[in-house]
Amino acid sequence: MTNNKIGNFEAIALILTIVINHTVLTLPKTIVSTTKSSSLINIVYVGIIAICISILICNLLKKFVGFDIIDVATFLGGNTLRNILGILFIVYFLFSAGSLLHNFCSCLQIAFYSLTNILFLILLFLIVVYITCNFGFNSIIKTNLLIVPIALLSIVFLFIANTKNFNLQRIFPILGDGFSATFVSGLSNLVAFSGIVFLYFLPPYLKESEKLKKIAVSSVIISLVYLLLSISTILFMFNFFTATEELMPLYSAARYIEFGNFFQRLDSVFLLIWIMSLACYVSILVIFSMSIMKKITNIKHYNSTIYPFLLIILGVSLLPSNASIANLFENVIYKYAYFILVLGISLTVLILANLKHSKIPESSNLKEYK
Amino acid sequence: MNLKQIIKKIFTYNPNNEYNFSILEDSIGPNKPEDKQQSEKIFPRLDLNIQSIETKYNLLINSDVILKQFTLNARGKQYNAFILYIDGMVDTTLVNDFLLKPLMLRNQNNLFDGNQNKILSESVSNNVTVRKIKKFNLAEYVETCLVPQNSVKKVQEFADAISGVNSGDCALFIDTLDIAFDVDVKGFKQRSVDTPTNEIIIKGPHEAFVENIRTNTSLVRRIVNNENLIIENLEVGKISKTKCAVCYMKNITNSSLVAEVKYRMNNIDIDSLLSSGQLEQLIEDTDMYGIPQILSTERPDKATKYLLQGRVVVIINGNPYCLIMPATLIDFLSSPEDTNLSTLFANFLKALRIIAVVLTLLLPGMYIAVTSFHQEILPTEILFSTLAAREQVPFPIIFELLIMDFSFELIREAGLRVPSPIGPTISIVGALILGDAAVNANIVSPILIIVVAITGISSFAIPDFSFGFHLRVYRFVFTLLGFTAGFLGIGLGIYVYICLICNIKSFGVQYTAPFAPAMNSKNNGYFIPPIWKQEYRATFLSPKKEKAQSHISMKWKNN
Repeated sequence: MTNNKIGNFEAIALILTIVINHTVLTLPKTIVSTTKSSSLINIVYVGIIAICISILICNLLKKFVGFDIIDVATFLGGNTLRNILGILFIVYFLFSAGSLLHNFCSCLQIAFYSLTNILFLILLFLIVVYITCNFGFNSIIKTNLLIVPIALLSIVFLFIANTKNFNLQRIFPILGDGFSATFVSGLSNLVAFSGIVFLYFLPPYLKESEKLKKIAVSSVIISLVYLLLSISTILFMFNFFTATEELMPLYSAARYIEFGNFFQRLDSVFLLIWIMSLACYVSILVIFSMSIMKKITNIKHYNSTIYPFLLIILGVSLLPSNASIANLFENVIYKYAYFILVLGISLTVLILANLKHSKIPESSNLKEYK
Repeated sequence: MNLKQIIKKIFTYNPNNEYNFSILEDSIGPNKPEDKQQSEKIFPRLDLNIQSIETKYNLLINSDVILKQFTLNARGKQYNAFILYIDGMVDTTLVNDFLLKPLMLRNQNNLFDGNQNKILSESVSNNVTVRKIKKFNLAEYVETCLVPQNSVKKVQEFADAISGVNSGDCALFIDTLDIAFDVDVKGFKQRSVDTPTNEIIIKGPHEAFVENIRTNTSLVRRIVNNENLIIENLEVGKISKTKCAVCYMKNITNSSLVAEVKYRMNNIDIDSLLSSGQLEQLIEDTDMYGIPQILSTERPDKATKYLLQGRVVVIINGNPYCLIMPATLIDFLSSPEDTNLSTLFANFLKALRIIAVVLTLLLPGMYIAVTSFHQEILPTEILFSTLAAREQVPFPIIFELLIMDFSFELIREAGLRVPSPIGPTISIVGALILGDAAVNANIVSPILIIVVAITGISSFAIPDFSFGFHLRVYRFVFTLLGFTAGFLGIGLGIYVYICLICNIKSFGVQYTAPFAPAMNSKNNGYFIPPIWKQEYRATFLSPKKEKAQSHISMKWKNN
C-alpha cells in the first residue's frame, strides 16, 4: 500500500469540502444577490457547465497519467512555468483560506464572542491547523471524509426542518431579473463549483487515477444537489433583500428550526459542525500548499513550510478591517482569482501541454517532468 | 532536560522518522480451496505418517503439539510407533500409565508367545489335522489387549485423527498399520479455569483465561478445534524469559501480519516482561496519544472469534489477559455479548455504546459550553432552573465541575483498590452521602451532579477498559476547551481528535477502518448484520480466506 494515495470517496469529499465551506458563509448570498428568484435555475445551468468543464479537465489530463497541473506546467514550460504556476496556486489557496477564516470568525464573533478579539478566534483555528497538519496528509484527508457527510447532512436537515417556513411563491418571477441576468451575467456563479480546482492536483494522489472523470462528475453533481438545497432554503425562507443582508444566511435559517417547545435554537449545533468543517478545509488548503511548495522547491522535508504559510493566512485574515472589505475579498477578488487562475491559466496550460504532447514522439519519457 | 536542550528542541527541525508498516496482499488468493487433507488416508509406513503430521501441525514451530516416538512390544515382537497429543489438553497420568506403560514395558500381555493364531475350527481326516485359523491381527490385538482404555477408536484418515487430537485425545500410530487409534485421554484444566471478572456477559461461555500459558492455549485450541491453529512460542525478556504464545490461523491470517507481530516481539530488548499491559505498550505503533491500539481480553471465546477473523492473538505466561492485534476503533466498542444476541438487540446495544462514548467524552464540556456561551440552546424553563440551582454556589462553573469530576474519579479508584467486601460501601458513601452533602453545602449544584453521574454511568457502558480510560482522560481536555471557547473550542477539539484517530494505525491497519479510508467492508462495519449475512471476513485485514461461510449458510431453508 503506497502512502498518500487516496480512494474515490476521499477524492469526492475533497472537492465537496470547498463548496460546503463557501456555502456556509457568503456563497448563497452572492448567488441570490446576482440572480434573485432565478437562482435555482441559474445553479442548475452553471452546474451543467461545471460538469462540462470538469470533464474537459479530466480529458486534458488523460494523456498525463499521474501528473498534476504543476507537473504538466513543467512539461510545457520547464521550471519557470512550474514555479510561476505553483506560486500562483499557493497564493490562491492561502488567500482563500485567510479570507474565509476572517469571514467565519467575524460571524462567530458577532454571534457568540462579542467581547473577544477576532485575532484570538483566528489564532485558535490556526493552532488547530498547525497540529493537524503535523499529523500528515492522509490523516487530514480521512478526517475530511468523515466530516463532509456530517456537514452535508446538516444542510439536508436544515432544509427539511425549515420546510414549514418556506414560501414557494418566492421562486417567481422564475427568470428573476431576466434571461441575460440568469444565463449571461449569472455565469459568474460558476465560482460556486470552485471545488474543481482540486481536479488539477488529484491525479498523483489517486489510487485509481483512471476514475478521475467519474470522481469529477459525481462530486459536481453532489455539489449541485447540495447547492440547490442550500439556495432553496434561503430563497424560500427570506426575500432576497433580507437574504443578501444576512451575514451567514444558512446560520440565520438554522435559528428558525423548532421542534416543539424544547428544541428551539439549534443554530449553535450547526455551528459546531461547520467549525469542524472549516478547520478541516483550512488544513487541506495548507497541506496542498505545502505539497506544491515541496514540488517547486524540491525540498526533502517540507514540514517547516507550515510556519510561513500559517503566518500568511493570519496576515490575510487580519487584512479586512470591516465586513464590506471582507465581502470584497470573498466576492470579488476570490471570484476573479478563480476565473483567471483555475479556469483561465490552468486550462490554457493544459490545452497547450496537450498540443505539445501530440507533437512529441510516443516513446519519449514523461516521467522526467514529475 | 536543560534550557539549551529545550531551546534546541523547539527551534531545531527534526524530520519525522515514522515507523510505517502496512499489511500486504497475501500471495495466496483470498478464496483458496479448502485443504485436501479431508480425504487423506493414513499410510502403513510410520515415517510417512510422521512427515505428514509434522507438516500438518508445523511441528518445527508449534510448541504445544507433542509427537513421542517409541518401540511397542506385541507378542514378543517390536514395532515402531508414536503417539501424538497436545500438551495441556491431555491427562499426563493417563498417557503414562495407561498408554505408554502397557505398550512399551514388557509385561504378560505383550510378551505372551502362545498360540499366535486363533483357531477357528479344527477337523481330522486321514490322520491329518486341518485347522482353520485366523491370522494374527496387530490392530485388533492392540485395541483389545494392550490399551486399557474405555474409549479407543480406530480411524483411517488423518482428518479424524487430528480432530481427536485437537479436542484433547491422543493418537497412536503404529508401523505397518494403515490406521491410527484415537485414545480418549482428555485432561485439560477445567474447574481451575475461572469465570471472567471484568468481561461478564449474560449469554455465552463463562470461562476466562488463567495464568498458565498452556492452559490458556488449550482453551483456545479446544474452541478452535482445527489443526490450522498455530501456536508459536517466543520468549521476551533477557532475565525473565517470559513465554509468549503467538496464535494465528495458518490458512486465514495474513502472513505479513504474523511476520510483523513476531518481528516486533523478537525485537524487544528488555530484562523482564511481567504483564500483557507491558507487552501491549512495547509492540503498539504509537503510545503518544494514550489511545489503545491492541485489544486485551480475558475471554477465550472472544480471542477465538478474532483468531478466526484473521487476527493474531498473543498469550503471555503468567497473565490472564491475552492481546489481540490489529484492533480498530469499532473493536473497542464491541462486546462479546454482541454475537450471542439477536442482531436487533446487539445493534441496539451498539447504538447505545456510541451515545455512551459521546456522553463520556463531551457531556461535561458541552454542559460548560452551553451554560457559559450558548444559553440560547436551552429551553427557557431549564435555563431558569439551571441558573436557580447555581445561584447559591460560590465557585465558578469550571471549578465546580472539576471538583465533581475529580471526586468521581477518586471514588472509582478507591472502590477498585479497597477489598471487595467494602468496595460497594465506599461507592455508596461516596456517591450518595458525599454528593448529597455537597449539594446541601452549596458547593456544587444538583444539575452538575446529574451531569457527572450520567458521564460516569456512560463510561461504564464502554466494553473495553483501556478505551474507556482514554475517554475519561480526554474528557478533561474537552471540559477545558468548552470552558475556554464554548462550541468553538469543542468543535476544534473534536476535529483534532478525529484527525488523531485517523492518524493511528494498528499493525498496518487503519484505526478508523472501514470508514476512513472508505472501503467495502463486506458487512464488517460497526453495526452487525444477521449472522447469515456475515459471509466475509473484514477486508482491511487482508485475510488469506476472505469467505467465512457459504453464500447460503442456512441450507435447511432452501432445501
